[in-house]
This record gives sequence, structure tokens and C-alpha cells, in this order.
Amino acid sequence: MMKKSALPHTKNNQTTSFYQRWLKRRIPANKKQRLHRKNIFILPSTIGVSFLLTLLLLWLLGTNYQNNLALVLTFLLLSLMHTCMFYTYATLSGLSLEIISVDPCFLGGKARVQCRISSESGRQHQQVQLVSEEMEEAVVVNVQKNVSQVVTLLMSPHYRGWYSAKRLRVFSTYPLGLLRAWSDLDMDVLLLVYPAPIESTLPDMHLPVNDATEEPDSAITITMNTFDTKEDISHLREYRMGDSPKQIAWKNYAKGQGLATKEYEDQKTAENEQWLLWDDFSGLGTETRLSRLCDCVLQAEENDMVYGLKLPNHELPLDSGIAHKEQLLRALALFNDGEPRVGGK
Amino acid sequence: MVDKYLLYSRPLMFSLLFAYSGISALHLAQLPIWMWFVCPVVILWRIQILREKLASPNRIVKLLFTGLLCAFLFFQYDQWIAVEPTVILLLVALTLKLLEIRCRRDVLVILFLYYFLVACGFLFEQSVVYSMASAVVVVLITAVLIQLHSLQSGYQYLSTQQSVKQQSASQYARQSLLNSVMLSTKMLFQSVFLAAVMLLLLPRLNPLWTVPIHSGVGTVGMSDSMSPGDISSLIQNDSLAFRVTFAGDAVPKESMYWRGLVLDDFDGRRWQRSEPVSRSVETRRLLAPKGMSAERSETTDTITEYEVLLEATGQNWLYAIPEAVITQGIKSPIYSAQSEIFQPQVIGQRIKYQVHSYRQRTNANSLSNIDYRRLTYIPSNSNLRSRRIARVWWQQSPNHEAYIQKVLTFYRDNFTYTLSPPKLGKDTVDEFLFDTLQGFCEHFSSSFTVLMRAAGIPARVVVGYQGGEWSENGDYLQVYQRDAHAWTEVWLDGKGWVRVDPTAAVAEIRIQEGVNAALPHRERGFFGNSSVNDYRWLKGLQQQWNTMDYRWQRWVLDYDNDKQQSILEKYLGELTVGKVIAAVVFPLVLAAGIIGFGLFRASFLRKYLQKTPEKKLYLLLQKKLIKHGIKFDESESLKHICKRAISELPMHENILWDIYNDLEKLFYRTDTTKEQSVNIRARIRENIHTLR
Repeated sequence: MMKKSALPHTKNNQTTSFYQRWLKRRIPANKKQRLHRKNIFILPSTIGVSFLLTLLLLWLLGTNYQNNLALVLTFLLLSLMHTCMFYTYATLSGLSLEIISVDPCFLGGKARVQCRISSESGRQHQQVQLVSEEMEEAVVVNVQKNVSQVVTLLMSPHYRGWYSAKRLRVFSTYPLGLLRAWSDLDMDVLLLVYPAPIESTLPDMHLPVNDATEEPDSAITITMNTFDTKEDISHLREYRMGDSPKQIAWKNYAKGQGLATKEYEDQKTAENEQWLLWDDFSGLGTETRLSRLCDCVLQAEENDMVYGLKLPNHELPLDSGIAHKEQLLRALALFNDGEPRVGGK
Repeated sequence: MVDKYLLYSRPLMFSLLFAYSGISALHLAQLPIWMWFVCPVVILWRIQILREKLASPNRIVKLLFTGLLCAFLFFQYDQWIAVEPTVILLLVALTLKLLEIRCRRDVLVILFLYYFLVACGFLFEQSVVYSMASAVVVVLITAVLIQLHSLQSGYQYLSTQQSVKQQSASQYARQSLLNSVMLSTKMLFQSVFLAAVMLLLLPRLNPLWTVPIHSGVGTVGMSDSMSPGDISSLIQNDSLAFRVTFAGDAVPKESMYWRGLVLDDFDGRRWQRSEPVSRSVETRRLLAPKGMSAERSETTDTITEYEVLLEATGQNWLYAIPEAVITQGIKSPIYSAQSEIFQPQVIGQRIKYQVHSYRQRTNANSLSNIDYRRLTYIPSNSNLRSRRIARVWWQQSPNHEAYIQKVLTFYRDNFTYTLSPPKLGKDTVDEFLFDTLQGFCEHFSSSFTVLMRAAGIPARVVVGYQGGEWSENGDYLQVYQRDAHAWTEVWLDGKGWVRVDPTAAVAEIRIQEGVNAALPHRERGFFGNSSVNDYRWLKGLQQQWNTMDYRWQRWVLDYDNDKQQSILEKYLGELTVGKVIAAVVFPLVLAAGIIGFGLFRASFLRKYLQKTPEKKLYLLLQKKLIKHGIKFDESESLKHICKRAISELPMHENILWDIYNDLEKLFYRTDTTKEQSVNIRARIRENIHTLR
């Protein structure tokens, strides 16, 4: 997995086959897709091919013994396969799929993608199967007449960051299994993939800067120097709705640095505060660092801590709560990877 | 890879076993006796495995069982390169496979084998009933295939319902089989049309190679000997012997003597052929029809042309009206000196052959001295009374013909025709002629021939069938076993062999109207179909059944290259590329139509029915406005659309507002009466049409 994320763009672009390029033109990406004759393909399945071989044997039997009834049976079964083609096509035709929600996940974990399937044909669709490269096994759905159904697809993405899922294959071999009808739909699923957490102990407490025993972190020092130090301000954080105007660092605002809220050391108990620093894991590779930080974030949240994150290009102030955790994880996920990468399209 | 879904899917296994019993039933006739026990045992075993009462057989058990069956097979058949042992071997393999189903592929192998075995069944039997039974089994097999492919959801259904009730599982099993049977029936019916077209159009090939059929058919009907009681037991057999379709005018019924075999060796009680049939056929010491083709041109003979559809007899000889030449259907017919016709192989299944009969001609091969002695021979110590009276009559007669007439008069005056004559002892002819005086065709022909021989006239007994019954609409003649008959042929100098039927002298009606009419009323009950005589409707039913069977034979079983060609020529005329393409494309389109209608009809109808009058008007307006280049957005309100339309088409402002107001009324006002709304609709339609 690491390897894959190490080679983000180029490899995927190279593997774009003719079929994929053709599909891109034929079935463009969309959150909602309807299955109709322009995007359903159908071919005999392996079972169908062995069925045809059986029919060849039957035909030989009928021909060698000049037995009309054996020939009739052969032709009837051949015609049955032809009939089956329509039935198999009908199991897909008139279905419509829509992606309702996409949950983020950790690399190596499974993302929950909710997909609504409904029948617009007034028919019942049996044994419709959904699978994509990211899914372990196909999900089987029986869609009733005029009823929509929500299916959860569990996808395991291959790399961190914005992961664009490969095409969702909707297929069916119902009713006889002799033919396989399928459609490769680009459902425009964009997964946010956090780094895979690697278990690690929380680094030493990074207490506020005025702790004399510890060498101040350079980034913080710079920030600290920019505003008034008379008050016991631990640091500034981005302004959030609902912050008291008294706490806003007006001086900074006047300098054109945007709204910031001053946070005071005595507002929270020091033992409960935790800074998660990029440099804590120096000496490790980028992904490992991110993974460790990711685990730290999870632990911190679990232990009801107030925590912040510092990345080389990004800093997230101390806070707590699920929204905060997600913000941090998102920052970790998108580290050096602001743009969504092209999945398999 | 063991598939858990499969192992615990009872519905699937039950239907698989159900189909298996169907297949075994289709092959019941070929099955060796021991398989009759093996099949139920395997079915029960499998069910016990399903119910988890028994474990799946382990390797040793499987090996033992396989060895046992193979041993049975080995002792059952001595000849292996034949169909029957091969089919049974397949069936045994299938039976064993049923005990070790482990994954989806195993089930598929079994199902495809089922299809193959159904086709194999047709090698042994092709009757209408059998074919219908096979069709049912094919529906079943297809249903199992459907079940297999809806299995996963079935499993899910079970797991969600398990907490509810155990009973629901068995209910589900029944429902599952029923649903898939319905679907498979529907699909097969939809497939019939294209299958028929394929049968009609696809080119047919000659056999690529052949494997001989191991014929288990016993001898049916006439045998190659005749002793008193042989034919009267045949008379009670109600089955069909053969059918005849005449190409031109039919032969009058009293001349329909379907000649089979000549019996010329008499031991005092029993008539048989002087040389066994098998030896005649093997050594082929038989003559080809002498100069038949050369003679044809000079004689003014009327040729009677007909086709005979002979049921399996298990014998070698064919039936025809003498003097007959086989023109088609038999590869190398063998003609004997006595004008019998043989085919080299035993007739193990229904065959069909075309015959030309030259009825006025007689077999006039001259008689050698040896033949003369042989054909006038009577065992010296038997039937003395008959020989004595023959000598007396012979002296009273001026010539052969007069003697024959005298004997026939004797028969006419003294004898009665009955199916249950008194038992005869050693000298059958004597006892019959002077004591019992009651008999049947075999008695008449036998005694008549003896009387002829006693007077020094060469004579022989001929066995075959006489007469027949016309089918309901009269397009073919059915000859039953009960039409079996025996008569005599006598040698007259200058005339050759002449047929004389003493039975005709006693019971003329037998020859004209058949056996049934000739018997005294109380004896008609002897027939196997006695009830047929009492219930006319049953007879009609039987007739209709026979007609159907005949059509089946003619149009399905005998459908061949020639018939295909003639049908194609009749309906398509000369073949051109365009016609061939049309013949391929048209059926495909039609078949697609048939299936598509069944599948997609619902959605078409629904779409059509959903359109209320208001909706239709709205759609009409939409169409009109789109023509003017005004785009429609489903989410837009009617008012907004109208406003946009007015800005685009200012010249229609008033009309558009009218339409808008009226539509609003139709859609949203509930207090309009029916009459009003009809008026409003008419007004809207008019207005829409004025938008140009």
C-alpha cells in the first residue's frame, strides 16, 4: 500500500487501457446513473460457453443417429439461450443507481459508500450484483418493483488522500447463468482516505512555550513573537463562530492577519493538552509519520484531550471534539496531496 | 472449495433429486434391474445427508460403491461399443456424482449431464407420450438451473427469516421450485418458435460416424413358424403392426394381402420355413428380383405405389402386397425365391420403406423336381383321413381348378369361423376337418394346404396380414396385429403360384370387413379392445390418438433433408441471398418480439396508462413549445414556463395565457364538473393547435 501511494499519478495514467478510455467517453462519471441499452453489455459467461459445448455434443448425437428429437432438443436449448439473453438484459435494464453518501476511512480499512438502487421499469430485478475493484466480494441485491433500496458498499481504497474509486461493475447472470450482462459505471465516488494508523505512544507532552525546561518549538516562537506576550496567552487559533470578541486578537487583525482568537493557558488544564508535532517522528518516512500522527490523533480524542497538530505547512490549533478530530485527520490525509488523484479512470 | 450455500440449500438439492428421478424414469426401459434399486437408495441417501442424519460418504465408501456399480455394469453387458451400455454408464456416473456435490460447478456438470441424458433417451423411444414426458423433465432441469442462479438471495432470505420460523424454510423451498418451474416453462415456450425455425432452416448433415444401437427389442407379431393357436393369440393383440400410405388409388380391401413369410415345411402339426430365416439372410442365398426392371416396360401392369411404416418386429422380413419391389427406405433388400423380402438387419425400430407392387404378376419361376417333391410332402404317418378324402375328391375332379373349387365348397358348407376352436391333438388337420369343424385362418390354411398337397398340387402356407383399418380422415391405412392372417398359395401349371384363401370361403366378411365383423357376436369380447366396440367415443379417441401418432411420425420423426428441401422450396422458392438473409433476420426479430413483449410489456402499459387527459395535454403543449425552441425543465412551474414562452413568442400572448389558466383549472380546481372539464380540455387542445 505504501508503494502504491508512493507512485501516485503516473502508474494509473499508464494503465489506462483502450477499453477504459472508450468507457470514459461512453459512460461518463455521474453520481446518478440509469442502466439502459447504451450502457449495458452482454456476452456468454463461462457457464454459457460450456453449455454451448454440451449443445454441440447433443447436436452430434442427433446428427449421428439422425434423431430428430435430439436435434429438436438441441435447437430448443440453443433458442433458450437466446431467450435467456433478453431476460438477463432485463435484470439490469431500467435500474437506476445513485450514490447517497460516502464516508471517509483509514487506509487499509473499508469506506462505507451508500448507494440507492431503484427500479424504474416496473419490473422486479433479481440477483443484481455490484462489485468494484475496491470491494472484496460482490453485493447481491434483489430490487422489487418500484421500490428503492439502499445498499452499503464497503470499499478498500489503495492510497491515502482523495481516492477516486474505480468503476462500479453492476452485473447479473440471472436467470440461467448462461449469459452475463454488465455495466461499468463511474459513480464519481471520491473517498477521503486517512493514513493507516500505526500504533504509537503519545509523544512527550508538548506543553506551552513558556515551559522553560523545553526548547521552544520554532514555529510557535515565531507566532508568539508576533503579538503581545504580557497576557498569559498560550497561542492563537483561528477564529470560530461564537468566540467572545474580548478574546479576539485585534492587533493581529489590524495587521491584516485575519481574525484569530487568543487562547489562555489557564483556560485548560495543562496535563490535558497535547501538541502533535510532525517533528516528533523525525527520522521516519513521510507515510509512517502520518500514520503515527494519525494514531496519536485517535488516542488523543479517545482520552478526551485537547490537542493540536503541526505539520510543516499547516497548523491546527488545540481543540477537541469529533469535528476537530476529523479536521485533523483530513489534514493528515491530504498532506502533500491537496488535489484529488485520479483513481483508475 | 466447498460451497456452504450449496450444501445447505435444501430447495436446490430437492429439485436436483426430483429431476434425477425424472431422468431415471425416462430411462426405465433400458435400466438394468439393479439400477431400479440403486436409484431410490441414492436418492434416500442424499436426502439423509441433507437432513444431516448421515455424513457424506468418505473416500472408502465411495470407492466401494463405485466398484460395486462397475462390477454390476461389467456383468450386465458383453458388448461395450453400443449406445445402451454407454448411456447406462453415464447414468451410473451421474448417480455417483449426486453423492458428492461440493460446489456450484458440480451442480452444473450434473445439470448438463441431465440434458444430455434426455437426448439419449430419444435414441430408444420417440413416441408422443415419451416426448411429452421428456419435455416435462427438460422444464424441471431448466428450473433447477434457475434455482441455482437465484441461490444466493435464497440463502440470504433464509438467514434473515431463520429467527421467524423453521417452517418457513420448507415453505420457501416449495415456493422456490414452483417459481422457477413457472419461469422455466415460460422461457421454454418463448423459445419454441426460434427452435422450430432452426429445425426448418438449419442445414442438416449426414451422420459423421455411427455407433450401432444395442437392440433390446424382442420379437413382436408374426413368427417364422405356425402351429394351431399361434395366430389366434396374435388376434387378441391390439397393437399396431404397420401403417400404409398409398400414393395413388388404394387397393380394394379384399385384395390387401400383406405377404410376409412363406412356410413350406410341414411336420404334421407345425408349419415352418424349410430354411431358417437367419441362415437365408446370412448367406444371402436369395435371388434378386429377376429382371423386374426389364419386364416393367412390356407389361401393362398397374403399379400400386405406397409407403409402409413398419413398427419394430425384431425380425428380418418386410410386409408388402406381392409382387413387390422396394424402391426406397431399405438399403439392400433381399428378395427370396418365394418372393419374400428381407432386410439384412433385424428391425429393431420403426422403419419406413416405399414399395411398388405389380399385382397382376405372379411368381412363375419354374419348379424343379426337388421343389415339387418338397412342396407336396406330408409326413407319411400323419393325417391319414385327410389324405384319403383328398384322393377321393381328386379322382372326382376333371382338373386342378375343379378340385380346388370342390374343397372350397366343402369348407363353405361345413365350417364355422371362430376364435376359440376346440383343442386339437396330434393329427391337427384330421381332427379339424372331420371332428371339430371350427377354426380360424391358421386352421383353414393349414388344412387346405394339406388337402392340396395330398392331391399332388404343390402348395404352401403364407403368413402375413390381411386388410386394415382406414384412419379417420382416410389418408392412411392402419394394420393391426389382429389383422394377422394365414392363407395358401398353390402352384398351377401355366399360371404359377396362385393365392387361395380358404378363410374367405368360410367367412367372406373377414376379408371384406375385418376379423371383428366375422366373429360371432359373443366372441368379439376376445379382443384386447373389446370395450372399444362397445363405446364408440373411445374408438374415436383411439383413432384420433393414432392419427396424431402418425402425424408425429411423419412430420417430426421422419423430417429429413428431403422434407426440409421440399418445404423450403415450397415456401421460399428459389433461394437468393436476399431471401436467405430475410429467412435469418425475420425469425430473429419475431422471436425478439415474442420474448420482449413478455418481458417489457408491463413498463410499456404502465407508461401508457399513466397518462391522464391533463397530462396528455401538458405533453402536447410541451411538444409544441419545444418546436418553437423553448426548453422545458421538469422542476419549473407551469406559470414560469408560460411566462418564458410569452417572452419568446409575444404574438401568442393571449392564447398562451388562456392555455395557462385552463390548465391550472384542470390540474388544481376540484369543483369543475365533468362536462366543464371536457369543454376546457377541448378549448386547450384548440388553443394549442393555433400556436404555430
